[in-house]
Amino acid sequence: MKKFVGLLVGLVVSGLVAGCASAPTPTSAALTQVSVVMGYIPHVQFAPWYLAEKKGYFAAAGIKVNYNWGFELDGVKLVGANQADFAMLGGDQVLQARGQNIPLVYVANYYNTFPISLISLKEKNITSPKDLIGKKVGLPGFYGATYTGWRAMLYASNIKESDIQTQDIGFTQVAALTQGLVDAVAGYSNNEPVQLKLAGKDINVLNVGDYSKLVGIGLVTNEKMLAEKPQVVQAVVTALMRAMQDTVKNPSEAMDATLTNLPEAGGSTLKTTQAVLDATISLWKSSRVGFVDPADWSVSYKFMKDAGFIKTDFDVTTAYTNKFVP
Amino acid sequence: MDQPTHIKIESVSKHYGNPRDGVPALRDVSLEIRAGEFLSVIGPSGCGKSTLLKMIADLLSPSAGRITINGKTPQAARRARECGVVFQSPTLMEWRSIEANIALPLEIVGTPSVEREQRARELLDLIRLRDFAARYPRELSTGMQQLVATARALAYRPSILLMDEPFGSLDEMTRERLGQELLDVWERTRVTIVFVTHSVGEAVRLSDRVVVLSARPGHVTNVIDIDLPRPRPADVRALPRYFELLREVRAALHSSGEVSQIVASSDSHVVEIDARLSDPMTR
Amino acid sequence: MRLVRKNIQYILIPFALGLFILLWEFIVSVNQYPSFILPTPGQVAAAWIENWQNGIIPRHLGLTLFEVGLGFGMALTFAVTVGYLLAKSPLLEKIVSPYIVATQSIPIIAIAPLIIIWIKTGPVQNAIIAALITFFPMLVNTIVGIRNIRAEYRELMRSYAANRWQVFTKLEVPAALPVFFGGVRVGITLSVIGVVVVELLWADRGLGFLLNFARGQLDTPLLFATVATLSAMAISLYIVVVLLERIFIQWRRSMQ
Repeated sequence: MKKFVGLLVGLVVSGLVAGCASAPTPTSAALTQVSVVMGYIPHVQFAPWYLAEKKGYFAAAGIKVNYNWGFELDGVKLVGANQADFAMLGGDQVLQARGQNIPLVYVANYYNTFPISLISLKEKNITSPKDLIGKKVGLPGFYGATYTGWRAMLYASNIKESDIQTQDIGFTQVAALTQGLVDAVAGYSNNEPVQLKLAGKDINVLNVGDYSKLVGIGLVTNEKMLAEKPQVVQAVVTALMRAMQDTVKNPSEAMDATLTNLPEAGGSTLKTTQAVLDATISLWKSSRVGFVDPADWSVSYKFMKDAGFIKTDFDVTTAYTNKFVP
Repeated sequence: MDQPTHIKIESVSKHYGNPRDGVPALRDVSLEIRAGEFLSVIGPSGCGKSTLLKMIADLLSPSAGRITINGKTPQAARRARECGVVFQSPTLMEWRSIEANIALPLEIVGTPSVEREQRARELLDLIRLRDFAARYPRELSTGMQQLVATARALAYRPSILLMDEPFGSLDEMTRERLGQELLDVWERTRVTIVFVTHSVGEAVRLSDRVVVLSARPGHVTNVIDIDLPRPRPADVRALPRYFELLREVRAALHSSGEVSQIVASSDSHVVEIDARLSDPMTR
Repeated sequence: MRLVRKNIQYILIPFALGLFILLWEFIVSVNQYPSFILPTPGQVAAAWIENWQNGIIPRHLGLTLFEVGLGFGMALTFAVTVGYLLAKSPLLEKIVSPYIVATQSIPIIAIAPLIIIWIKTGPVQNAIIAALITFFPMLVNTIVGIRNIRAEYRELMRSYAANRWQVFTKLEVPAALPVFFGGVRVGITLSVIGVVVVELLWADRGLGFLLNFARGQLDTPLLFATVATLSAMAISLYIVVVLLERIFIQWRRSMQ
């Protein structure tokens, strides 16, 4: 390991030198740099962020956001190790992290429900979780948000995991469903159902959020940030919440902002982008944007514990705070 | 080239590996090689004749004893580029043309390019391969390649030419022809040639003297004067003196130790040395 | 007829390609696949043209090309310098080899968190990681190329009292070049793969990102068009290497 690290250093030195040379033009000293691990590639689901950038909400608060994109960046580890300031993570991830003594704190809600759904073709007549018993369900994997959502739905409906036949189908949900490989698939509420409808398929959708109060995706930071830079946390939360409200009120504005930052979304797939945006609006809508009922957290904690995702007990109130939310 | 070249080999021994269980190659060899002479070294396989040559060339060092070349150590002589070496295989650089191959030593010593070209052409004429200047080694037969290697060895006009069984892998006809070419070159340049061979006929045909080494570990058993006329006539092999000399050399080889000797080598598999050599011309 | 036989390879390549495309059309129409499962060649071509004209493919192609170039360059430099040192010192090679081989068996994903923390993410960083995947065959071929030089050649240079630089330039480099270029051929292909793999993991730009994006939007024609662009890029780079090889090793032609 040492030698590998040594080799890496050699390469990295030249890379860093080159990297520093190609670094972006210096920003004014007044702007505070924050890093956010997005957990995905640039996508229309981040429209509020794009809108906040376009309208200068972050800059006005003296913040410059550096986005870390990609599927494989682990927000839990990076924020937990103080290598990144914020991450977009699900309530389940925060609880699981806390169960391993990783000091994450959920500071603002983004998706008002757990954004996983079970989708099936209409002809299968699956209209409730119990209808899945005896059917074949395809999951992208036995880990991650989709799996946790699946477990949450079963838990809330009192169905044993072993009652239903499940299969790992990777990220081929749409294909697996349309080609009849499985009877139902698990996916994100604002993604697979949208795509299937656009492909002209009639579907039934079971939203995990209708059955379980498991806390959905939100803005997460670490205890260090809260202790040392609470004003930065507040600034980011305020800007993001404002942008979320603007998005819900004026989706076309959010669409424009998205296309400015992600022109690819406006190419041959403009229709898809639009449909996904429309589907996500309902996830951002809330009577009190960013707020999570402590009762929901308790319910989530109980589920995670019973389902075996959390091994050691802890005080769930340490995992979140609503104090930054307007 | 009129300077006296004098190679003095004094009680030289060579041992591979450590003294206790290594392989002794040469034992107490002493020899003096006169300036301008054509000297052959002959002996059974494994007797150390290549080793001896490489020590003169400073590609190996003796375990005991001393070699002096023109009064210098082999290392100094190598640095002063007093010897040209021709190996068992042509060792031409396949990415260079024939002319560029011949010019290689001159490049290394720093000869300016005009002079280099001129000298290369001179040498090509010497071996009568001028037309092949732009060809690549692959396009030449092994025999011709060895000729080129010989010309290359003479590029910076060394006073000594060391040749390690240069025609060993060639057929009889080519050998003869190349031997003749070599004599031509020698007549014209009068370099001192130390010529290692395992062919008795070749040694007698070409040399002024023939040094016979014993089987491993080699030491000098005979030095035979070859008093055939110079320049060697084309029909030298018909001369009675030629046959006598052949017999003399062969006798010396047979008596140089044992006809058949079994020696255990350092990696403990048995090596059998057979001192019989064949020369088709004497059958 | 003789003309055909002489240029048979230039005729066969487009012919094979045409056959492949026809087969593809056939499979799609027989199975009635929707375009998001398997698009027709026509749909892929249309997607490619559209995304080329609106600048999407060129932009991402440019970035990936930059990363490939940089990554390959770094890998080449590393492979040649370290390879030469290892070739000359068997002792050093014995010590270092196990670690070098070990780096090749570590999947990038496994050490991803470590890398991110160290060097963050970005095009240069992507190039560095791709270089990690790329350097090995060039390193090995450098060592083999240098080691394969027969002792007699070194003796020859020694007999000329050549200095180290002369041995390097007049013997080692030209002698090792053919084997070395073999490693370069593999290396250039690997650097494309390496860059795409890294981009697939955590990039927001480049052809790897475009693959993820197309997949996420269920735009399979764009996905295939991106794959086609990647292939074309890899093939072109490979051809460049082959041409360079022809230039540097001109003398081989006399064999053919």
